[in-house]
Formats: sequence, structure tokens, C-alpha cells
Amino acid sequence: MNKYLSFVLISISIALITYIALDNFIAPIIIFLLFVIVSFFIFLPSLKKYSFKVNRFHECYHFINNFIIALSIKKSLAGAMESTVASMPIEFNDVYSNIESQDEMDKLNYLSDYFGFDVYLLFLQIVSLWLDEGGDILKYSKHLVSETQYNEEYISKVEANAKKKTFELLTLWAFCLVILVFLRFSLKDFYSYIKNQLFFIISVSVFMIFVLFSIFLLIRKITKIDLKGKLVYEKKL
Amino acid sequence: MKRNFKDRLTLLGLNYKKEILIIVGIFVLFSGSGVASYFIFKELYISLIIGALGIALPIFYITRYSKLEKEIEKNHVDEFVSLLSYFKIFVSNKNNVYNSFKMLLPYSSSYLQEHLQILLNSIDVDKSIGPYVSFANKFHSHVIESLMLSIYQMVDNGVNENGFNEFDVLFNNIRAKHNEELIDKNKKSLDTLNSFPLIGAGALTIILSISILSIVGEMINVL
Repeated sequence: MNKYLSFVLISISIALITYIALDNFIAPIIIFLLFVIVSFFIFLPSLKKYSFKVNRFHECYHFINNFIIALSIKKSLAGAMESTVASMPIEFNDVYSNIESQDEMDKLNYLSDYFGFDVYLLFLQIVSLWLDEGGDILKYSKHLVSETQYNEEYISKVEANAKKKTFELLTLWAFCLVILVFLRFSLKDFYSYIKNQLFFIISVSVFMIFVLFSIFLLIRKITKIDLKGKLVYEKKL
Repeated sequence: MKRNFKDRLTLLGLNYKKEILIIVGIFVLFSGSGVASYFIFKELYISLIIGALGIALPIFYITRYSKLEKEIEKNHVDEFVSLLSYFKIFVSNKNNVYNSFKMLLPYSSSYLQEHLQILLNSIDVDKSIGPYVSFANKFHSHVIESLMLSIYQMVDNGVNENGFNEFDVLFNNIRAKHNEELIDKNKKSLDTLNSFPLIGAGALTIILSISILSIVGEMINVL
């Protein structure tokens, strides 16, 4: 599901529950606006940046592996580049079309800005070594490939943890908020009295901000991923 | 005392003035809110709780510095273990140990760059195990000590296949353990979030109880 839509739906649900709990319009509108602003200006940019980084690493991993295998078979940079580019996604091919006329080694050097990870720089050093000394590229790159594989495994495990935790946290909050709604209807008589209390209005509003804070922490933790390099995030993507 | 605290913050990469401002800010905000809430709502206990937060929160904030110091130390070890995988790539590709350490410099943080440079300078003048041991001692980690000893053995015996394989086996074991630790750290960090809905549920119960009890109290007063 679209991330924008998910955050709008969460904001609407929270505002609706606040309205049911407090029976007034001001607090739910403030809570809704707060959720929407934080979602659109903090959560979504963080998630986009995270996805950009992870997807770019997958591309980098794919490129390095394919290039090394192609190079070991074709024994030429041009042949390896041709085979590798054919298997890359459209986004990469858009960038590649701008450098197609360049020398093969210049193309590889230029792509260090596109990939931006340390493993890519190590890959460049290995290709340079192979150009200088010849020999078996598979032997030269054995440890590099295992390093990139380790990073891929790390990403997949961290992503699996993040998905599991997001589901758990949202489910637990949903139960908690459902209890608030049930209490509102089961304690109907008391509610007609307490809903106008300033303490109750402020407390429920603070409670909703606490929900927002926990989502903020969740997003901050799941988007914190350790991939070494100087990848520049391109906002337009 | 002030100087020590300032130095400590500088070592942690924190701005002294900013940190003091945050600590004082939290104290003033909560203490002020406590006093203000007493005059507005006339609820002594709630005002005292808010006021107490003005003391508790700055103390809690200050205690995070020692945690931060440990975390930074651990991060340096993690970074060096990660960098050693690059080192392994360099050594396996016909570079000697000295050059391989030199080639790590562009990939290192400023902290490691500084210490790697000291190591390289020491190796220039002292070919014994000394520079390797003093470098390892900076990390307070047995893992780094074992790795540096293994690297020195490689230097001592010449970078041959046997020396490299010994280092490779040791490093692979450490790296595998390190990987597990990283994933475990990520999992544990996410697990702490489970307490938030539980705290929320508890807070809801307290909010409702206080609200209902105040209504009951008002009713009794009327009767």
C-alpha cells in the first residue's frame, strides 16, 4: 500500500478515536494536523531516504556480482559491462545512457558517485589490479564478494526485524486504542461528566502525542542502517 | 569540575553550551510548569509531580553520557572489525600489511584515521610487536588484541598463504560473531518499543481512574 495513504489513514483513525474519546472537534483536529505534519515532514522523508539507500545497495551488490562473473567469462571490461548493464534496472540505465560513450574504466569510476558505497570503491581497486596484473578476477574478488554478501544478509535480516516490529507495535497500539473506545461506550454515564474536564482532554491529547512519539522512535530505529560509504541521497528519486 | 565535564562532552562530540542549555531548559520548563499548574488548577499533587520531573529528567539526561561513552567505544570496535574485512581484501590482493593499513585510511572515521596513522608511524620506527599491541590497547577489546597479534604473526612470518589463512580463520569467526551481535543489537533496540503500548494502556487506566474518582468526589461533596 502507498506509504502516503497509510499515514493519512493512521492520522484519520487517531483523530477519529480522539473525537470518540473526547466528543469535541478542536483536539481531534489538532491531533490530526500534528500527525499529518510529522508524517509528511519527518516520517516519509526518513523512509524514502532509507528505501533509497537500501535499493541502491541491492543494485550495487547485483552490479558487482554480475560484473565479476561476466569479467571472468568474457575477460574484457567492455564485454563485462555490456552483460551487466543489460541486467540492471531502468533507473541505472538512465544514468548509464549519459556515460555510454566513455571509456570502460571511466564509466566504472563515474559510477562510484552513483553507488557511493565503500564496497564499490574496493571493487574498483580490484578491477584496477586485474587490469594491471591480469589473472583470475574471481580469486581477487573472493573476499569482496563475501563482504557484499554479508551486507546483503544484514539488510535482509534487519528489514525482516523491522517489518515484524512494525506489525507488533501497530497491533498493540490498535488494541490499546480499541480499549479506549470500548470504555467510552461502556462507561457512558461517567463519560458524559468527564469528557468536559480539562484534565481528561489534556491527558487524552498527550496520550495521542505519546502514540505519535512511539511511531517516531520506531521509524528512527528501523531507518538506522549501517552501510559504509558516502552515498548522496537524491531527493527527486 | 566544570572543566572535566566540558572535556567529557567534547570527547563525546557534544556542544557544551547546547547541553547545558538543554539541562537548564528541562529544569526550568518542568519546574515552571509545576508552579504554574498549582496556581491555575490548585492541584498540589499534580503540581508536585510536574515539578519533580524538573529534577528527575535532567538527572536522567545527564546519566546518558556514560552510556554514550560506552556506545562510542563499542562503535570504534565495530568499525575496526568492519574495516578489517577491507584489510583482508587488500592483503589477499598482493599488498603487504603496512600498505593495507595505509589503504584503510580513506575508509576510516577521523578517530580511527588518527590511531591508524599513529600505528603506521610507530611501525616505521619499531618493527616489534609493540605498535600492534599499543594500537589494540586503545580499544579495550580482547577481540582486537587477538586480531592484531594474528596480523603481527603474518608480518613476522611474511605474508604467505599459511599466515594469511590463520588470520582469515580467526577473522571469519570474529566477523560471524560480530554480525550476529549487530543483528541482535538491532532486534533488542526494536524490542524496547513494545513497552510503549503497555505504558500507554497503564496511562489510560490512570487517566480514567483519576477522572472518574474526581467526579465521584464532586458527587459526594454535593450530597
